[in-house]
Amino acid sequence: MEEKIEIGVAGMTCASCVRRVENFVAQSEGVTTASVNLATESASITYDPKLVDYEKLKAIVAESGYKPYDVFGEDSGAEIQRREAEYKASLRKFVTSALMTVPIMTISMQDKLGFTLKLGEWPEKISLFLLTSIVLFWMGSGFMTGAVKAFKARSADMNTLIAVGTLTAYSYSTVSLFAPRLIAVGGGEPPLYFETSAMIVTLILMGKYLEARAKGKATDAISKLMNLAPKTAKVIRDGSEMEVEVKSVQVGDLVIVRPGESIPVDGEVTEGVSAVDEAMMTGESIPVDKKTGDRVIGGTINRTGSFTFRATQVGSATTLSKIVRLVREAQGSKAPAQKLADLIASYFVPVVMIIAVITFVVWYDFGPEPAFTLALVNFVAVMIIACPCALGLATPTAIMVGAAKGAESGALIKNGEALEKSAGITAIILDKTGTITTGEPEVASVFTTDGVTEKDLISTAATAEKRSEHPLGEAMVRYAAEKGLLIPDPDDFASATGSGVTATVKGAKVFVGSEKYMKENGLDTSLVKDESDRIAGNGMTPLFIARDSEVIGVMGVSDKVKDGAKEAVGRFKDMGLEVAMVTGDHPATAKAIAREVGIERVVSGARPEEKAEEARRLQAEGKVVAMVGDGINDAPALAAADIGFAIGAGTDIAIESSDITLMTGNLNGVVTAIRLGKATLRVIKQNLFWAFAYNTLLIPVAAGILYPIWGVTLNPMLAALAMAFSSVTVVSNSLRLKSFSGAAR
Amino acid sequence: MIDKVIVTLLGALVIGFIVWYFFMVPDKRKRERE
Repeated sequence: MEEKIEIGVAGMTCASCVRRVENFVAQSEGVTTASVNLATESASITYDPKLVDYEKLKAIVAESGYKPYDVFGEDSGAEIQRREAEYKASLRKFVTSALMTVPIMTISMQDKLGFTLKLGEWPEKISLFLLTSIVLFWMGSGFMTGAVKAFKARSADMNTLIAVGTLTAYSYSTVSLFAPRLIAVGGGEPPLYFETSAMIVTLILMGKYLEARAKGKATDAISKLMNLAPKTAKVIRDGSEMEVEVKSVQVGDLVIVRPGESIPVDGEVTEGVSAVDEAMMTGESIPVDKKTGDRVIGGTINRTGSFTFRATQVGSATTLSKIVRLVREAQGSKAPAQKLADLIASYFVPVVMIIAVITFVVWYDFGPEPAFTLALVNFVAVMIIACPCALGLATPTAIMVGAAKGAESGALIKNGEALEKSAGITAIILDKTGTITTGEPEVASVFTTDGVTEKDLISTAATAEKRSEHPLGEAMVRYAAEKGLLIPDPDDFASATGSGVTATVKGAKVFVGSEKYMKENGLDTSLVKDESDRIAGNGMTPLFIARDSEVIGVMGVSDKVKDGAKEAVGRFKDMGLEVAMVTGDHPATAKAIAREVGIERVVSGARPEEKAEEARRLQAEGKVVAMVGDGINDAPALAAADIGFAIGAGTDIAIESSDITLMTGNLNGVVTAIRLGKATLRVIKQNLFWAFAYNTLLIPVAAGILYPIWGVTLNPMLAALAMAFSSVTVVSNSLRLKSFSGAAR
Repeated sequence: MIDKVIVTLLGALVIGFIVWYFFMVPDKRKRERE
């Protein structure tokens, strides 16, 4: 048996690091697969528990050169603290480095800026040397140690580029300062490039700081979710009310909730009525009425009344915990688009180093004087401009924000692949019962024969059906109760599964059921034939009522189309999707419902495997198929489709067979999820485009390709600025998804 | 000034090292598994 675990990996800086940890861990004994995510800083590992355990896996991660930390468990407060500390450290480093770089820049640029500090040549130069040494080897120590670690592991990453680049400029300047004769440039003194080294380190530290800040914004969705549940709960123990920590609430505890308070755990109302705001769980903005017997979800807010409920799920079993876990898993998953980017990044750095060496040689051999200096400056520029960090962040940051945004609007996305796939669907299959319709039948039409009152008919039918457990029978009883009619117990009762019931009501023998059932009992239905045809034609199920061997009426029971279903179908069509409906129902009923919501393609009388067949049929037509169902009898179809949506899973997360689970029963949730998928994919594409375009365009510029034409070269300091901003741009672009407003209601 | 030929040769040598070190030598761990 394989097991899956998540381990935090701290200290990764770019896509190359991701590859390194992934390869290293995946090749270790007992590990089947390893997937590392730069944005969430974690590794998802499947392993054989017989061969390795958690501690051993952590040791393997440490061996790969990074710091492992715990992420599993419900309390990820530690993770938040760690991120906070990292963020503060990055700010501190940047500020200190910047404070040192200001005097360095002032001294170096004084001639250009048109003033002199009059400190004397040597004191100035020595200060440059000392200050730069501090910036490089203290503030920038992370880059140096990172580069050494990478080199030992036979790989190269962003640290390698920065370390080699800055150290080259620094070493050259140091030799120029202390042994200028070694670098004789046409008799004059060789130039110093201390400010270049210092500025590069400062700018990249600034980039890191901005990136940490943006990443923090992307992950705060999880903390926001976790903070929904209150820290304490009021429970009744030993007959008195006491406030306890949520952690210590047990299954079976009676919990009291007052207006305005958050519900601490999941449970069932035992006393009191109220309206509960479940928007944070379902995206549904209207508060839901709760009475005895209704389920309440931890993390939702009680609005109007006080009530008591019995805890049914606590700790990691609550819906909120499940959601947090799902969102975290989705955020850590890799989208297919990232795989190519990761592969490229792993070859990227060595290739850049080769380009940099070629740049140096070409400038030295063919460039103008001072050839050595110019060759060196351009070598450094190439090294600094080409950082693959933007490539590494392009997809994961978008998935992270997208998955969190999905959870916020009531769509739980299983992984990045599902999010990416949902953007590309071209056909959508909708299940009828429970997806397009409410799945709760209601009496919608009553027709009586001459001499029978409506009241009489309803009361007779309801009495006969009183002991029935069939949904249609229950619908009749409910209807009678709504009308305020008395429903006495029938004298005797017998039901024929699936066709009807027979009972004695007020001394008369009553039959209620389908046309077939009437005929089986020798009853003539011709009196109500026209009416029953009309009922079926309108998408309702006709139920006949007979008393004392005479049919006295027919009732139409309809499974009402959900609010918003028609709008949703229209929106699917606007998106250019082919919409189909599958159902096990009667063709006439199915057609009528399909017509009501505007669907032309209908498969009726379908068994679960035939529903899957329809998905395969559409796939054979070259369509990318989405299936929307309630996740129980639709499981084969959900699995057969390219992407499965489980709808109305509400609190029970039927995530296993579906890719996206909608918390509400509203079909518009599917519209939202598709729109979100499209928006996320768009951001991913933009990110990858910019990351690639940035590198492919600026590396040749840094190498000096424009020099022969316009005499333009790229200052290494500008290169550092561009590099810092490339990753910041990518992360900020992903954060735009936070303001995604395509939620359909 | 260092001779251009020497610089070119040194450059080629460095490139050769990069290719060998990062691409050619199979990972030690991979070898162990095989």
